[in-house]
Amino acid sequence: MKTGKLVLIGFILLLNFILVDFPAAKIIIAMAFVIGLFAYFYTRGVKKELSVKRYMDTEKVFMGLSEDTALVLNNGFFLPIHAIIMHDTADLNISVQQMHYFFMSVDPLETSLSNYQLYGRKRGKYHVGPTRIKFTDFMGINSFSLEYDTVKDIIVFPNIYLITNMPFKSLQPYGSIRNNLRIFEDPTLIIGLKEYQYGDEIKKINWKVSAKYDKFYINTYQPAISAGSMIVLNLYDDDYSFRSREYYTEHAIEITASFVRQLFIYRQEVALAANCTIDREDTKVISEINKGEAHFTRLLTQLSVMESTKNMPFQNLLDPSALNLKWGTCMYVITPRLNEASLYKLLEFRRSGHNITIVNFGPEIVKDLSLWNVGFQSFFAEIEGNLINLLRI
Amino acid sequence: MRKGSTAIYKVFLWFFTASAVCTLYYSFCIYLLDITFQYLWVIGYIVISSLILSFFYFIPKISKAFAILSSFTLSMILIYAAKFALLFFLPPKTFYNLDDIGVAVTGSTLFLLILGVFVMVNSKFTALDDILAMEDSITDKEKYISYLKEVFAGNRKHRELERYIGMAANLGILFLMLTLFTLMRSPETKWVYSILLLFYTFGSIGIYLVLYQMKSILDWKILGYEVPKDITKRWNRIFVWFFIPLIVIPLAIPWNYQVVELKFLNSFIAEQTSGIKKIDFSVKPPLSPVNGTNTAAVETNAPLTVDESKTVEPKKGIEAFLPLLYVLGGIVGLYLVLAVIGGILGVTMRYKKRSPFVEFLIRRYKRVRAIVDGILNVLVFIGKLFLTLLGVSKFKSSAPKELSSPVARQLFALFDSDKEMPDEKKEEIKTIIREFVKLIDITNRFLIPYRFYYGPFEYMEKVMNSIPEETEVIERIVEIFNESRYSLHLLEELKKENFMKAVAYLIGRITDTHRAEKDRPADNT
Repeated sequence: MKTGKLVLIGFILLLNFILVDFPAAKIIIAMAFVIGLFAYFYTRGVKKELSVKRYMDTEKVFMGLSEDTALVLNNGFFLPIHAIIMHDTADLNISVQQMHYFFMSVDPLETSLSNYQLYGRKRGKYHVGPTRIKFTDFMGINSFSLEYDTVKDIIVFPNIYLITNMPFKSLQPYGSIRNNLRIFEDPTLIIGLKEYQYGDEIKKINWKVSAKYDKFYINTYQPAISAGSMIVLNLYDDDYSFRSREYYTEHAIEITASFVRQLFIYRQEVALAANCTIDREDTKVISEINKGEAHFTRLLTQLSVMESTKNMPFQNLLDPSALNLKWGTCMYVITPRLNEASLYKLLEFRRSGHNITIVNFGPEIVKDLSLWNVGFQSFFAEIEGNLINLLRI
Repeated sequence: MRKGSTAIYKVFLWFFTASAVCTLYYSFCIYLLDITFQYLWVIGYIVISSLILSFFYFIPKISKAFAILSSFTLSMILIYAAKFALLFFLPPKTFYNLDDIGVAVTGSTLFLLILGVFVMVNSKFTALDDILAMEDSITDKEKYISYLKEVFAGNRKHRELERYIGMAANLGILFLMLTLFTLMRSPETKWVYSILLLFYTFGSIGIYLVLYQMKSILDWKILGYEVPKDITKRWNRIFVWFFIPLIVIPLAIPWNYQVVELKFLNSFIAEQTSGIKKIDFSVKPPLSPVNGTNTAAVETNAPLTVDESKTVEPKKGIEAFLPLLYVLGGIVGLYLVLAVIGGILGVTMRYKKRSPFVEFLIRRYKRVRAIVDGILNVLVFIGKLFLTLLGVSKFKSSAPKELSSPVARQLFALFDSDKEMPDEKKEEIKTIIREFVKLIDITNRFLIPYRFYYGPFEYMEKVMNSIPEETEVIERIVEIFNESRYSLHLLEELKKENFMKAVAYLIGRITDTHRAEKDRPADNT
């Protein structure tokens, strides 16, 4: 609206500039240029020297726990930034609001920190970011808005319950089978000491004890082989054809995560197999049998991003060549239902020397899954508060 | 938090008021008293009075009335003291001797002028400052924000600075024009005018900066941002960084020269503006006993730029201002020509894409039309009032323009809470609906028949299906329509403009397509 007037002022100033000896006209015209240039270079300098980074301790969050995310805005310019508005985007499943607004004023060559909490409310993979910056100079002449790539994927792990009565009475030795062949000695399980004899391995010498008694002593280990466990999860949609499908899909994943965690606590080797959808692609997840914290986290991460599948029936997963199990591996099959084809496949595994435990769940106990007579263990997983009770079917 | 800003503002307000009043006074001296330097000391009075007023006015513990009264009293004491001091110390030739009444009249008139300019400029600052200061007294921040929203609901203009910019620009235009003519006539006044105009420019810029700062903070508060308290500290530091090059660079580059010397123009202006003394407050010195002439008057009032051998017959009355009137007439004439062109283009390019220059011309047309409408309304009002007084007809206030089409009325009737709406908002909704109905008329005729039970979005979705390539435009139209109709706030000008443009574009697009289809030769196969 005022552009016309400003143009008119410019025009009359120009007349003053050209037609009369009027120092102020020259100075004011120069001032106008200085104003324009200062506003331009100030905005440009801020734009160029501004940076935003995101800092997070971890990108993996347990459900129900909060995690801080910090945004650090760095002003590398030699002039202060009077006001800047920062918008950070976060998924509603991990944050109380979709947009987080921060208003900042930063000194020259300084940084400003803003943080907010992420709160894992639903299992899955979500992302925070990007961060947008809005800036208008101190005169309202120039402005810019920038987007910084501060996107980070946040994995929310599924809920984990305590399992009250883990099925120990099975035929399998819960991961370790005693073996008399020395070759399978487990160096983590020391059963005693004996005096060193010629031919014993030097690496078995217990140096502390030897130093104490001034004689060489060697450790003796419990001979063992590691059998490991595989948790097989059925996420085939048709097997979940009851009312609250999504709710029970979540249950299945939570039960699986709880089993993984329980076996991790027992320091057992564990693997995961599931028919599922990840990133909208039907896939079979088959992990290697391994143990340790890193492996545990890896399995939980996989469980976090799984969705049910529409095109991959459970029997397709139960392929012995694909699963490639060592003899004696215990299989925990977590499924709401079991069709005939899957049952036959599991019987094949049983015949190959694997121990099968069926863990049923859902709105009601499926009595057909009572398969103790064929050598399976069958349980119904009942979730109560923070616990999973395994009820024998 | 705002102490620093207030201090900066005070200084610039002082610059602005003093320089504006001084320029007006100085131009008055030149044009009406035909004197250039004799009353220059009065400028000192104006500067000091403005300073006193700026100082007293912002003392929070005293009332504004008392501050004005104190400033006035102090200023009058000063002007009398100055008069006697000047009489005592300076030779009488350097100024006109004013008698005591003359001093009182000059002093109080100038103080009134200072006060007028001061209050006019300060009104925006006071309004913004009061609202910002209120935050400290309200403990509940949510209450404060809802209060702000309430105050500014439907009237964004209250916190815009356009009025201040307009006033500063208008005064600037006036001063520059006065300067141009004065300097052509009396080039020796260039230093006084230069200093005054530079201070005026500084004052205007400084006040704008502080007002913009306050306005922005208020805007952010209304939007719900947590504005840090030290924001003004950094902001003011940028002002310092800004003013250093603003002062140094323009003064460092050459400025004391004339680009083109147009002697004929100068002498023409001198001839045209050699007005006679209209008002003479001075107590004239006694006539010379030798030849009976007023020597002081001859010395002081001699024409300065014109060749002394040539006697210029001074113009009288309105003739002295003719060149000014010519220039003003020229500007108004040019404006009207632009407006007429804008009006023609507005009609011919109604549904076509317009370039920014065409938009500029159309805006001129709208402005002139608004002014003409305003004048006509006033005339009609006076006419009706006159007829009513004579008893010829009954006075009826004109009813606001209502929506004529039933579709428009239906769309407006969907609106429940019209009683709580300010009239400005209602008018805006009606304007938007009118445009929307125009679009519906076209789509109804050429694309999809409109049924009365369709909602705006429902119908537009159907339109979208028939012209999917314009989905974005239609979505924008519906979005702005919904925002206008269902919200209590006024739309931004830009949004309104975008809406009009989008509707015009879509109508043009649909009609063009229809025409092209009509013109296509029939398929013989």
